[in-house]
Amino acid sequence: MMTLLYLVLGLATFGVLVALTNAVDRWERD
Amino acid sequence: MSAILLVTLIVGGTALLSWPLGRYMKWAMDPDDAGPRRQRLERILQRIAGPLGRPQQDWKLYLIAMLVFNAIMFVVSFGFMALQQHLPLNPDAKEAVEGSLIFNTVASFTSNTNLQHYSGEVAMSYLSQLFSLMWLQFVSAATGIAALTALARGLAGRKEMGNFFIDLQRATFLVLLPAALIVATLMVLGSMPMTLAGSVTASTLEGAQQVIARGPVAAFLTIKQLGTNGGGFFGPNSTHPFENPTFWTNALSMICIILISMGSVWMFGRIVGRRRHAAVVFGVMLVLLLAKITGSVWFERAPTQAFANLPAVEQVAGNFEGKETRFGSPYGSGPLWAVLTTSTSNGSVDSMHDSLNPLTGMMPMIGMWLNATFGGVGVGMINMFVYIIIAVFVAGMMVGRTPEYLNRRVEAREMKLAVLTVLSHALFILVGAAIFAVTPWGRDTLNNWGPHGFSEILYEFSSASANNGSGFEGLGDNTVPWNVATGLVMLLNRYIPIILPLAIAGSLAVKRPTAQSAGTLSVQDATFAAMLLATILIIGALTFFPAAVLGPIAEHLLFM
Repeated sequence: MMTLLYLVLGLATFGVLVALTNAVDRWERD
Repeated sequence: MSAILLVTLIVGGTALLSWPLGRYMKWAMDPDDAGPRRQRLERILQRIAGPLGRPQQDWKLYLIAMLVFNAIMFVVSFGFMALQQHLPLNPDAKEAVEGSLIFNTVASFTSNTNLQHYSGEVAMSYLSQLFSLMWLQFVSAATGIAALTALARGLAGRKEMGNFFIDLQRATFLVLLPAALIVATLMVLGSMPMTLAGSVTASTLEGAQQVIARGPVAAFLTIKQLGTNGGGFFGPNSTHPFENPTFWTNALSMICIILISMGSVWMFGRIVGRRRHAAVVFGVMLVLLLAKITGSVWFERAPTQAFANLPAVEQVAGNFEGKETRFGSPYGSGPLWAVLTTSTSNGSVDSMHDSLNPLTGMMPMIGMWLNATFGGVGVGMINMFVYIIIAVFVAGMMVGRTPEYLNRRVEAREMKLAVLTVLSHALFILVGAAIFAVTPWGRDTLNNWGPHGFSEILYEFSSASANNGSGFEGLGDNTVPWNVATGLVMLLNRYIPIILPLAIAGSLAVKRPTAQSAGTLSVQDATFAAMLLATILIIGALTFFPAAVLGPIAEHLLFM
């Protein structure tokens, strides 16, 4: 169970990085 | 004298080799000839990539493709490691790995860091080593080369930066794999093991039974060095006699550590069409590298303080603590490797960095703090690009002209993104080290107190943030807080310094080119080289000097 949580943590980190990419793109357009 | 000769041969020889390699990398990564043989090759890559390989991507789509691919690699490798006890290629019946250690290890290898909180020969099955870790050593390095190729295309004025999946294959199949095959063959000829058979048991002279681990070491070791990965097959990394048997494998390993990072600079220059600019950048990187090597070799000539009060120990040949004598002089190979492995984002070791004299130990840290003196394959040049943007901006402000880089105006937006990139690196190192220095998370894992203990914590976060992976050791770092904290730092600071610079390149690519005039700041002369050097030193010193004072400098002063 804990192992799965660490997998989710890793995926969430990639999610944050994708969100950062989108945020920079939006900032560029503004 | 022997140390000077070794440095000259390794660094000078590799610098010479990097020129034709850069030319080859340009051909491999960004082909502009359409000969029939090359077209056939491209068709094969397109077929492998399928529909994913067709669209041309702008900077954002390129990054999203990169992040999604890396996330999938993270999940697959995580699965291999979590289930290794049920999977084949496990002749020594390795058990399941603990969750936080899997997270740390997979984050480490996905991010090209290869920080290891485990011993490979103890914890990992051959399947985990080959199809999880070694696979990641190829694709994480290829990701770095692909990212630099995209950045260079953007700076050359192309809004569409290529296709990530095609670039990834080009970097893997045309750059890394052929180089790895050549080097692995040389390593096997140099007495390195390459077998899928399990460990062997030997009887010692005293009659005891000794288990000797072995495995596909040559294959693993080769991409570990060429891809600036650094993760060892064995726990002691390249100090282990099977992972680095002789003086010659040691020399070849050092060449491999910096070769592709050096070639990346020339590839960048060829793609942006400014070879003289690339020569200036290469020169600045080389000056910084040689300064660190000189400092490292010089400081290591002093005897270690650890033996100072021992009776009947006479130290006349420098610091022998933590060195492998089969590699030669204690102030030759050890400090040279320490600087090379931390100037690039390699992180493999052929001596114990914890045993280096305090100021020698600071040189690897400086390498990781700057992270641009050749740096990781591809990404080292990206880091240098960030310093270039800052240098160009400051130089423009100093002479009262609009800053320009490669005929594109550098404005506030690009500058903000560049500063954010530099700050993120400093933030992860300094805040992480501060938190672990004052809490039991860090304090309870120390084997040394005072400045040396602080250096161990500072080194660990520097290594994680710079995606280096070497360890100062002396730190009990396989704990949940260390695994989670360094795992997050490795992942975040692998991709943030790719995302923001690619956004800068995307922003520059859509700007109208400016005309070259007498007032345009040249980026291919000695004045710019001096400006760039000063920018790097001032940013590095202002950011990290206070931390260095608390760690290695304080330790050095204690012994005076």
